Amino acid sequence: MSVPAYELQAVSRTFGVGDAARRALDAVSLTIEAGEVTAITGPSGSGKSTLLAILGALDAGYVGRVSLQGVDLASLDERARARLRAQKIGFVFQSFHLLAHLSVRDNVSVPALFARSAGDPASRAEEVLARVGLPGRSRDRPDALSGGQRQRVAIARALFASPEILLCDEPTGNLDRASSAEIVALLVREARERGRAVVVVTHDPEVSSRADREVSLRDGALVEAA
Amino acid sequence: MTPGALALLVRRELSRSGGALATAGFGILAGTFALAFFVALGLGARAVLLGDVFPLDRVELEPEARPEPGLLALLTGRGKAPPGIAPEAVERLSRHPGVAAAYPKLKFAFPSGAFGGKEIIGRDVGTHEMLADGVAPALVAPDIKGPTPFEDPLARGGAACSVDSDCASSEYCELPSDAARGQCSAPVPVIVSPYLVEIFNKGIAPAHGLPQLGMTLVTRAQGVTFRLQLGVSMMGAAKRGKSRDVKARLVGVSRSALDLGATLPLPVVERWNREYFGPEAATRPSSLLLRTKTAADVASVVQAGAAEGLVARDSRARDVSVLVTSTIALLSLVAGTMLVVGATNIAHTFRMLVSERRREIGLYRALGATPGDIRAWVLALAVAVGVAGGLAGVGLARVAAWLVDLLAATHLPDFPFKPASFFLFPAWLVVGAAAFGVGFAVTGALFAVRRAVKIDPMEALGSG
Repeated sequence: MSVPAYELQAVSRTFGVGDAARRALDAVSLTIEAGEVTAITGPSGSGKSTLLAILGALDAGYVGRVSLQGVDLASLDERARARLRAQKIGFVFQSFHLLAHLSVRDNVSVPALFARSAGDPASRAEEVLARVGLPGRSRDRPDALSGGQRQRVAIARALFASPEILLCDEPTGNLDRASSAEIVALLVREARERGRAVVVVTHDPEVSSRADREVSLRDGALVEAA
Repeated sequence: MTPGALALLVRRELSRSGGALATAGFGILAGTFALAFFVALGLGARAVLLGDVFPLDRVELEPEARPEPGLLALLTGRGKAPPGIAPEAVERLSRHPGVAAAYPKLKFAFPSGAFGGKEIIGRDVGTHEMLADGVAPALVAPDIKGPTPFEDPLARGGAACSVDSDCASSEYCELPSDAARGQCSAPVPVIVSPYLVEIFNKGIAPAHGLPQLGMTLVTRAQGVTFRLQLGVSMMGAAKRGKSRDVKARLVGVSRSALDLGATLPLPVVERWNREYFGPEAATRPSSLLLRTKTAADVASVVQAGAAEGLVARDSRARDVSVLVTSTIALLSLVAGTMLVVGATNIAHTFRMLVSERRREIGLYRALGATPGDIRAWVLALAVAVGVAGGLAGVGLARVAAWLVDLLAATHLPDFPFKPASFFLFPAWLVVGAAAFGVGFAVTGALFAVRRAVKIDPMEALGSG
């Protein structure tokens, strides 16, 4: 029996103290399996991004238990969480967050700055760029690319370190329908072919309809796990 | 993060924000320049003043000036004998823990004159009233570069004589006033001070139309023979003995020589003082030169001398030292203020830089950078700016110093002890000034580092 990518047990997150305290997540329990695309949906302010930050080991201020492939994230210090992100987690953002002063290839290989990799970063960047359908664009600057191509570069960057988990925050939020469909297809393929756990925070029903599973949040609480 | 990755990040940032960082580094450059320039100037001044003009690692003690003897003392003959220093006091001071070596000095206790110099300056010059003293040969031995030793020539023996013609042409007959027979002697070795050479060059030579004496020429002129006139001067004759001429030979230039006069081997002066004044003028040194182990020992040695009734002959060294140190401190304070302004500039620039890189820092954190990696990145950037500003500042200070020296050499009139360079750039100053630049740059960036490390990645990346 394989270990789930994530297991969350009664996870709550509160910001602020006293009268200003606001509960962003409320006793969320959830299991996310490898090889699946999980869509997290819900209105703005429902706690989607807070959940994503906790899954990405970027927020350790929660209560409850979060384990990533059986490892309790609360047992890790800041350094170990950073190493975990570098090795096991790839992030994809709505705004791409590509560095305009770097070439596509250098953008893709940014993760190599923070994790030791055996191979040549440039070769690895070319490899993942080919995988996301952008061969031959490695010398271009991001501003020479379309929105869909930029998101492909961002996905290539997320795949650079061969992570077992992809966390995507509104990956199609800034794209047209055609580009959105391509990006979703790419993410689904990564889950199917590589066995990656793909978690997608989205408002887009088209995206959630392609997911293996949809998790809805409302006011920080899990209202549906289909 | 590996050092290579850190270097890559810094290099990328330098090429991206070069203009802003260069502006920020300018304050560091200016401060480091001022620090290196002023301290080097102070060190150069100190080297000349305390190395050549007022040596600091030595003190000369002499008996405290006695009050006017009064008419009765003059009539009874009291007060005529040179007071001198008791041999017991010399012995005690020699054993002082701060004293490395003690050298008695003995002034001429009789009138004298000196004439010669034709071989060097083309015609004989001289003085009918010469000041001279004697020092222990060991004191000046390191300064004697020529073949003639600085010692009593009679110590080597000599043929008996009555007149100079009984001796070889290079010798003279050393015939004391009360002796029937004398002893052939090589010319008495004489040394003069560089100060006297400077005074001659800058004062006497121009006034009398004589050529100046470069130090090299003086050194080459060693061996030139002079005529010393003993027992008589333009002020009168000695109370004892007969006036006579002896031969003397210039054998060197030494800082230990009498500033305005001639310095001879101590045994020679002891002998002549005994001949022209009496035994009491031969046994009690007129002053005692003490070389201290460190400059810091001078104060305690002076205090020990005071207990023997002796005072420091010259406190200018300490005065100059205090003056130079105070000036360096003041100018360093000015440079320090400039560095503080530079650090403030760095702080502002780095604060802006971190604000502009907020998303980028958030991205790096999401991709696996630790807070330590972010801290190292911003600090390394500050170090790079500091190193560049610091080295450029030190380099500029050296160029400015070279220009000042060039202008001084070509435009300033010659003056005593005018140095070849007014600046001294020891390695520690170069490294230290650059390190100060780095230190202030890093200090300026610390606040920005703190902000950078505290950036919440998800917030910075626009998730809410």
